[in-house]
Amino acid sequence: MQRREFFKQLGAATAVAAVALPTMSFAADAKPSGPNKMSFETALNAITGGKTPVKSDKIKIKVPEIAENGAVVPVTATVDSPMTDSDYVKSIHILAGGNSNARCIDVNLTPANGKAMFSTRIKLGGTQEVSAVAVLSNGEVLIASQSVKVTIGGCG
Amino acid sequence: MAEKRKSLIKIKPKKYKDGEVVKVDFMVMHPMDTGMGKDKKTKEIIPAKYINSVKFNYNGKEITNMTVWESLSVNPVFTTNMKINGAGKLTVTFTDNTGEVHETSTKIKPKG
Amino acid sequence: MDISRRDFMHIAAILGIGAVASGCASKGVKTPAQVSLKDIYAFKSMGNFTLLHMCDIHAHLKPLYWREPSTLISAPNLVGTPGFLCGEAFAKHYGLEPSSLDAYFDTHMDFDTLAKKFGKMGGISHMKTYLDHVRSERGKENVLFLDSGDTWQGTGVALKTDGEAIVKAQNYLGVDIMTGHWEFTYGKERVLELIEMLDAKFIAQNVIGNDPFADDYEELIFSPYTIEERGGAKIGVIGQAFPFTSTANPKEFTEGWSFGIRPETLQDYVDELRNEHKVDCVVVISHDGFSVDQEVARMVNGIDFILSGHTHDPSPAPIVINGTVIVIAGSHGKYVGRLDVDARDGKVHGYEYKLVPIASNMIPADPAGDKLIEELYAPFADEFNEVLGKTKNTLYKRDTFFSTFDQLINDAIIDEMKCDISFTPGYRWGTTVLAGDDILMDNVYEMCGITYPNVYTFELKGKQIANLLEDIADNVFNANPLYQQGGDMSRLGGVTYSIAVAGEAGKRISKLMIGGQPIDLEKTYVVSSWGGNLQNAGMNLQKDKIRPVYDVVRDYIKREKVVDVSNEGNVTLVDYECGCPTKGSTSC
Repeated sequence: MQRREFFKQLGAATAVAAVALPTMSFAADAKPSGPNKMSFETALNAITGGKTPVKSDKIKIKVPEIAENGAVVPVTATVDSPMTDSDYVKSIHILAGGNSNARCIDVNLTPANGKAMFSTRIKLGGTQEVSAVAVLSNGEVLIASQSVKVTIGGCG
Repeated sequence: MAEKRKSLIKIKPKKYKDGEVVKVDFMVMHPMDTGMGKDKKTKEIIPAKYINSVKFNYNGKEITNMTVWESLSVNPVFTTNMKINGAGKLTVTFTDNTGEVHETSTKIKPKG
Repeated sequence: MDISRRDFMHIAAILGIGAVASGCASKGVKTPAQVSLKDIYAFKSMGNFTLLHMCDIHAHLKPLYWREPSTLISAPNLVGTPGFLCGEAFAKHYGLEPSSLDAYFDTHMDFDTLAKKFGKMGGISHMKTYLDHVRSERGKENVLFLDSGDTWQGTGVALKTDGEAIVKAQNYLGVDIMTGHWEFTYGKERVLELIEMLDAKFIAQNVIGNDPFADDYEELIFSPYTIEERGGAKIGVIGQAFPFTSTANPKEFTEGWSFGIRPETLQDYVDELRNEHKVDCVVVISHDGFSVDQEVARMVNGIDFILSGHTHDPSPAPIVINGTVIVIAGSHGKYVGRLDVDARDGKVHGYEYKLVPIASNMIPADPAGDKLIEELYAPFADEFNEVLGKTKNTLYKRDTFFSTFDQLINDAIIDEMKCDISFTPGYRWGTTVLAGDDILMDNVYEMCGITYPNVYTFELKGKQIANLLEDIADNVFNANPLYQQGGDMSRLGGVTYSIAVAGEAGKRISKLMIGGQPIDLEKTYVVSSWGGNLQNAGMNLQKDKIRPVYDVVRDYIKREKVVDVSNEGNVTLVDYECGCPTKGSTSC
């Protein structure tokens, strides 16, 4: 039911713009509630504290080029990094720049994870770039992005 | 208010040793409504109801915590790694924006 | 990409340059009386085993006419390369003689005249005669017959038997291994049932369970590969089903299964076959499409041969990318690909390839095949053989934007549904009915025999229609084959538009007119569509009008008696001067 979801989302996005919900500022321990509206830039700033992320081969994002279902798009982020007490990946974040709230999930890791990997499934309201951001224990911020096409199909 | 929710923790591979890094899948039946979708029939906005926090706790130590926003798919899946460090219990706790709190656990039994 | 100089020399050395133009045994153009079976069968056999290949026969058990596209446009980087060649550009690229048997099979040029001269194409009885010829020449134990899918769907007999008639035909032909795409439109349960009836192995490395609560979550649904021994060689064959099955066809048929290209796991299986099983040769039977498989060959190392399918290209010569030889054998049973391979000691030492036209007037029918067809068709003969009417002009399917048979379908839908716009899908399967010929009900099923045949009538805003068209255009014309789905543009009735193929996504279409008036983005239009899922985006679905498209078309032809569809298209190409441009050019 990708199409239905897709259009539901498109329709919904306009509705939200009209209601003009307040943009949340997000404190460290607060939990999200209600529908949120956060641009890619706002979300990235909140995650990195304003630091510009570096495109790097050390972080990999795996998403399909063409989504099978815009409502269920698998995404996997992996970071090539040790996971020791002194050198590890502190967090992985998934962002979908074209959604009305670009921020999908913030995952805080510890050395006890053994590997820096996170995988989930997200909703995409249309064709857009999906990004994975990693914050390392040394303060480095890495990013990788790939475009995902959310299509209504139309051939065979 | 809290409904009974089907949830599952899977460890891959099924057999593992101490010190091994395994994959952990946590999945739960949850609508993950963004608060922006409309009911197709009534045309009314479906109120937001989505998981907003997930925590993985292994033998009393929090190894991963997640802040979750509304873009995750219905019946979400969360997959991370975990380094096996002795027998015990892995507990996943999650809350949603309407105040539901759930907890689910699995035994960790390394072989050899 | 074109073949590199080195690859070309390699092919030329093995094939002998003259053989690159398949079946063209002599320089002069031969009349059908002069083209002998010997010319069609001619092959310099070599190596220790033979792979026979078919793809996209779309359930055509009987011979048919099939006209290749008169327009095959894509992004400028792809135009004029294998997979995006047609007409004169195709003939030039492969060195075909005009009016030859090969030109008749491979291009649309002079089709009606040549059809009269050379007759119908394909058919399992004729195919079987050729297959058996190779089996007896090479020894049965040295031949492997591979099927890249889109086999079970495309005709009335397939539809009425839920695919079973075609499985029987595959068993008769002796298919050894297959993968799929349209197969899945019979639904998961039926697919598994049919596989039970099938003698061949059904393999796919890219179909994975995706229901988190099911036992098969993230597990393979089918075997990813099989290892076969032929001519003393261990041959590893990996299956690659159509990666976009769940977007191109209704999702409910494959609920809980995920597809995708999955190049990472493909690489893993190639490595596993080489390192653990020590195979001599790695073959992928693929339904990715010819252009996507060229990308796959760039991404995945160590594949010797990709036997491709999906995009219906007849490719007389293989292309070689990153050491991988890619072939594709047209569609509708028109061809069998013959690939002789010399593989020993974990390595391919040489090969020879020919795309063999199944010219059914020249290759005799195997009587057992004719008998099987008769049995399979008998229960439906009265319905299928009903003459619905005649056609004044040739009805064909293939073209990037417009075709006469699709226009006929749109005319029928508009006539019955009284809609402003009719959408007919840009599939690449169907049939061709020659000017002046009868149109049988069987022909209608050949054009629209699918398991989700309903025509839906509903409302869409002008803005939605414009967005939809752009979305579909990007699936067809994206410069990166990985973002294409390998079909043609949806065919629109009641609409004219201009298109700049090389334009950026969302900005290709202009001068969009509906019912002769410029589109009003705010206006609500009545739209009918079938074979897709547009209805899910629509409002105010007219439930009382829902009816299978083949019934709508049948009734229309019966009302009209003689149909007269003009070959005047409804789409104006802005950035190309013709339908079959050559590489690097916008003209022919």
